[in-house]
Amino acid sequence: MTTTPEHAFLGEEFLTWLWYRSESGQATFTTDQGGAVAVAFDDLLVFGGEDENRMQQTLRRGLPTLSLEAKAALQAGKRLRKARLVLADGPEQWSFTLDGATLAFGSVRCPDPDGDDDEAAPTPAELDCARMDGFARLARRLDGVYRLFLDERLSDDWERASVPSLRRWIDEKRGERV
Amino acid sequence: MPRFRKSGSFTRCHVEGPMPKPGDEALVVALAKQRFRSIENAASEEHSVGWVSPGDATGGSFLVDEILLDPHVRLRVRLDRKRLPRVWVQIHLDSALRAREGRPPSAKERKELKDEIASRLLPRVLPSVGFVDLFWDPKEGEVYVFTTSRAGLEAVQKLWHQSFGSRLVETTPLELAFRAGLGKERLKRLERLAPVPFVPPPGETGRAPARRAPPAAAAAGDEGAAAQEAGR
Repeated sequence: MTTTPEHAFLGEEFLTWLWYRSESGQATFTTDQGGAVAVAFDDLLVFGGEDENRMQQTLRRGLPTLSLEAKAALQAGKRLRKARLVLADGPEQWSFTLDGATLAFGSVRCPDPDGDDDEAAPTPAELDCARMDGFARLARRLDGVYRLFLDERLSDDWERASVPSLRRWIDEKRGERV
Repeated sequence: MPRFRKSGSFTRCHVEGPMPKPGDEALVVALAKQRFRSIENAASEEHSVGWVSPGDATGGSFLVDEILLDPHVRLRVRLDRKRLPRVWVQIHLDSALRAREGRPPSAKERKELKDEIASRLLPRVLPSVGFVDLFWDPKEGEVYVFTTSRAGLEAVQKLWHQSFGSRLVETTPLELAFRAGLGKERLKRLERLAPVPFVPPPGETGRAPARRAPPAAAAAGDEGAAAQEAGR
């Protein structure tokens, strides 16, 4: 996608907020759908400058959130544009790449809907349905987490508490060793 | 019929405007009206976009059982495009120019000759074939379009509008926020929102003050700063 939607920064801030929450032990979210979902960062981070046409930095493989390059990018004020995430809800797990600017889902892997060996094999139609449902459930779960972010982002506490905490978290990365 | 994909990249959209109910015949009729039409033997058409059913890539049939998978509606768009290999056009053009006698052709004549060659060669070119899978969740009013390419998404949005009259609106952070059921006050804030620099610009306080405070500040009797540092 080449055009950047209005308020694209909101999705990028959401990604950074998720990263902060995952590193501060607050990455389990109780959404308005009732269940608790956990979010973790996987093996891809893409950073960019304020201007979308400027150079991007992509970190792949291993645990890029722990890399010196990721810390340096954050401290240089680069925005987290894209990240590969793992979302877990009970025993179910989805992995996907989330584009902050568009909230488009890339390379999604859904929980296997084929069922346990003990259960009767699903019909082809049931299998198709379960696969579609896997994508839709991921989107709805992430919507729930995004809603929690919006609650915080649009509250008075954002400027007063959240931004200083995020800035402190970024600043404290200076002292960390890999 | 191929099974629905178990992985992939998708863009979420929501439907704006009325839609036929999933069980209505109107849905299948709308799909059939905008069915895929082959350009395999076409003399001038270079691309074609239309609906096909998951089990029939020709666009010749739409079986309700393949499409209606309660609670979802499974759809598929076929996009064909013919591209004339430039080198072939050039070879034919050079040959035609060599065969001419008299004065060299003007730019206009040269273009006409090129167009004539292209129209002669186009029916012999097989189109490249692409599919975009999508499914519609009528209860939530959402459509999951399995492409992240701008051209692919725009082709699907256009076809959707031609078929059903409603619009497929791409989900963005802002659009999703507007649909998140926020109160009036928060919606007002949302409209005025500006990006936050997580690293404050030089001169603005924001980083952990204890780390930035020069040791001299504490030594000079700045008890507040010293106490803050001790508390961290």
